Amino acid sequence: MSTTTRIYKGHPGPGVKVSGEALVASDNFSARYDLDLVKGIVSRPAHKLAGQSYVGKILILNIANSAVA
Amino acid sequence: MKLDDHQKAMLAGAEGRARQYAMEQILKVGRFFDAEDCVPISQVHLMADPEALGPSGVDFLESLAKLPLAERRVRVPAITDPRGVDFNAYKRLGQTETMADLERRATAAFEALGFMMTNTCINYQSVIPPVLGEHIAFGDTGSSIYANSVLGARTNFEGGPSALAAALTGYTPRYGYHLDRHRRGHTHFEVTTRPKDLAEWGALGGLVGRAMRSYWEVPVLSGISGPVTSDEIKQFGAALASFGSTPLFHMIGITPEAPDLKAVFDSPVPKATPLGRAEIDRLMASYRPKDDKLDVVVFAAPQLSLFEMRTLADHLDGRTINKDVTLIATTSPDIKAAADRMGITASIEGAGGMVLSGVCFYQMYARDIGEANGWKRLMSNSAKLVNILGGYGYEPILDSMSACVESAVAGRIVGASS
Repeated sequence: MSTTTRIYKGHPGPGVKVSGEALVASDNFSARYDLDLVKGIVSRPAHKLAGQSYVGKILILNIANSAVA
Repeated sequence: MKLDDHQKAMLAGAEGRARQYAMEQILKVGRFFDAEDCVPISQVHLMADPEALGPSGVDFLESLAKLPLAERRVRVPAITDPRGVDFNAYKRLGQTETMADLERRATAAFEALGFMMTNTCINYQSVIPPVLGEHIAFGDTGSSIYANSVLGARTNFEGGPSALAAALTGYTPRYGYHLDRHRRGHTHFEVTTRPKDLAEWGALGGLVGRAMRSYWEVPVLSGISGPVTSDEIKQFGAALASFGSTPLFHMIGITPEAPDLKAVFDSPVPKATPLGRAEIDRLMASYRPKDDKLDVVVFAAPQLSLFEMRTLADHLDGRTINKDVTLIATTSPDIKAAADRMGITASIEGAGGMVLSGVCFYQMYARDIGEANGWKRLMSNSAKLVNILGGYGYEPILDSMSACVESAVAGRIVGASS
């Protein structure tokens, strides 16, 4: 069994430290445009994470698209 | 982050829990963006529709609204983005009483805090446009990019909690687009064709937005000749901010900080990427359906100006919208009142359309009302709207207002692009 380690660095943000499984994609992200908040999945058909559940996951993506409005 | 004595006092709770929360929020955002201090702001535009707030967000607002008057009132003029429910139409749209109740509660809480419920994303056209150099805290991306770019005011995209904090304190962290160094141009586009209508102005904005790689990348457009109208540049900017993530653009000879290329670029001026007819046509074609089925036509995002409302009414004059298609236009309460007074609303509704006040389509539980009404195929002249709604279960089509109206009347998609 092999283990691959990847390190992503970013500016420290607010909030407590968390650990968990990460969803990683080379795509952008909008909390409003791209998520089905009821089903807990990425809902934009063209998104690289389309159909995947984000519940309890750490999202690692390129940039934020727009905002929530 | 440096705070003055007044800001320190608010942080310590000397002016109550609401302002203490607000200063804590300002510090979190400021430290994340490495702000050195705060900047006083003159007005706030807050995005907090009930779908985005959710029940927990409304609970939080109500907890602030219960505080004593002196502790909870906003410190600068503060106005609101579109709401999620038009109480004159929500039942016809299939919105639930739960949605309406949440809207009532949120509105009551905002009013208790001293917010003016303008319920509009075109405040720069219908309320008080900010002026060159004015520091503000705006929340809607379309409103923010217009204020920054077209008017030369200074704002970042303020999330709901940040805009609320700015309203309660009169300050926002001084970072990003409040600073001269972040307002310089980075990427150069030469526009080789003039967009033919508002849909194409939005398509051009979408093309530029897609090419942007971060919040900090400021696009500069040259080659656009002749005057650009407020509605044209509104559609362009709203789409740019939606497809991308940048709150500022410069148009050479048109926007106030860009009289020429040398004024916005630190030398040398970068080579321009051409954007022309082929690129606009390709983006429009990417929203072209395989068949002519049509469920709903929407004019929104941004809300329609009075001029757009007049144009829509003229297109619908003497026409009847097909019984199988719903046509919706959204505008601000102030523009709606003017449209009522001028007979514009009567013209649109006389043809079978719905004019909604104080809401915008994607901020009014678009997924839920789509499912409630069986709407899948949606047509609009807003590039921003079609960009958003793909993730909401719709199959969106982008075309001109004229083609949208012709399609609504025919009951199927018609027009030059279909």
